Amino acid sequence: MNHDEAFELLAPLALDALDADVLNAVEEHVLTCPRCRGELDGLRDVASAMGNTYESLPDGLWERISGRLYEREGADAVPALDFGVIDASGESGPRRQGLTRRVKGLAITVSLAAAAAIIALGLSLASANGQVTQLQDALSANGQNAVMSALSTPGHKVVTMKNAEHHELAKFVVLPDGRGYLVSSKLPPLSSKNTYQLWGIVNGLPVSVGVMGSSPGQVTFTLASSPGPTALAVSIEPAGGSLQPAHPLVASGAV
Amino acid sequence: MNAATPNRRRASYDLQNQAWDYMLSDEILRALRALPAEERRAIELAYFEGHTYVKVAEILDEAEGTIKSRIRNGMRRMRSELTRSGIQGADQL
Repeated sequence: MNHDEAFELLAPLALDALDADVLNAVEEHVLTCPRCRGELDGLRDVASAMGNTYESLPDGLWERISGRLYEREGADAVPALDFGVIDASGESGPRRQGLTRRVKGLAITVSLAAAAAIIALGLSLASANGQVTQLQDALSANGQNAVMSALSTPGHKVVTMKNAEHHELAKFVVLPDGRGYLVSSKLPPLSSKNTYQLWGIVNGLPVSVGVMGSSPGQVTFTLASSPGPTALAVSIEPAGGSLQPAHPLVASGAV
Repeated sequence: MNAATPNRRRASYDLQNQAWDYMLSDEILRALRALPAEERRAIELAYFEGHTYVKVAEILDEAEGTIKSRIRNGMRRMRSELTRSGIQGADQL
């Protein structure tokens, strides 16, 4: 199969809409063609994104929100560098029923315009249920309001941390004033003898931002260095943390 | 920390992720619905209903080349729209 023939089939390939014999021929070409590889990567981003669509409110989401409302009494505030325990098992939300194909490995980052839509999310969900105030209360319960607020702050940056296999392990939001929050985490829990430690990469060198605990949940931090870090990274260190990474970084992401 | 705390925080974590997913979903569906009808239909049949593009051509009674073009143009259009909305592949950032 020549380049032109393969190039025309990249979009169906990204949608997994090729017959097996054609699929093999196109994939063989892509392996040797940087231009096709680049085009395919972009098309697969779109296909992956489509695998994360809901036509309606996800099953159980409203029930979970309602449940949260009853648990608000006595909710803890967000601790600063004293990180609570969340079993961040990495479960993703329910996906649209009826999908016959689903491309795994979605890696998307939301920047300003889309992140601002998280505020609209409250209205979108609530319009389906007529409970705007309750929804916003639920989203802001238990310290999540700080993260929500950060995501709607002009100039914020979302940092997606990936491991060497390009799997997303955590997502942080950093504000222009240096404050930052953990948005989501798939970092697996560690034994109590170890902790995750967050590093800022400044002038190519790691500078400790803080320890995140053995099972990172709600995390706040401040990036005080000037110049600011060009990247954030996470390593596994002995409980209490280290002055310099004692072990390889397990995930990193550009700021 | 009482015994209920991890569960409460777990629920909060999941809620945050679901809210995030739902927000993205909203943007993606908006981009999909903004496509010209013939491009959207070709993509829906291929992706959401699981047909090969050859079968899509048969279903829509169109030439295979036409369907290839519709899928490609539609996906490129979606990519542009998502980028414009602030949603990009992480590797591009």
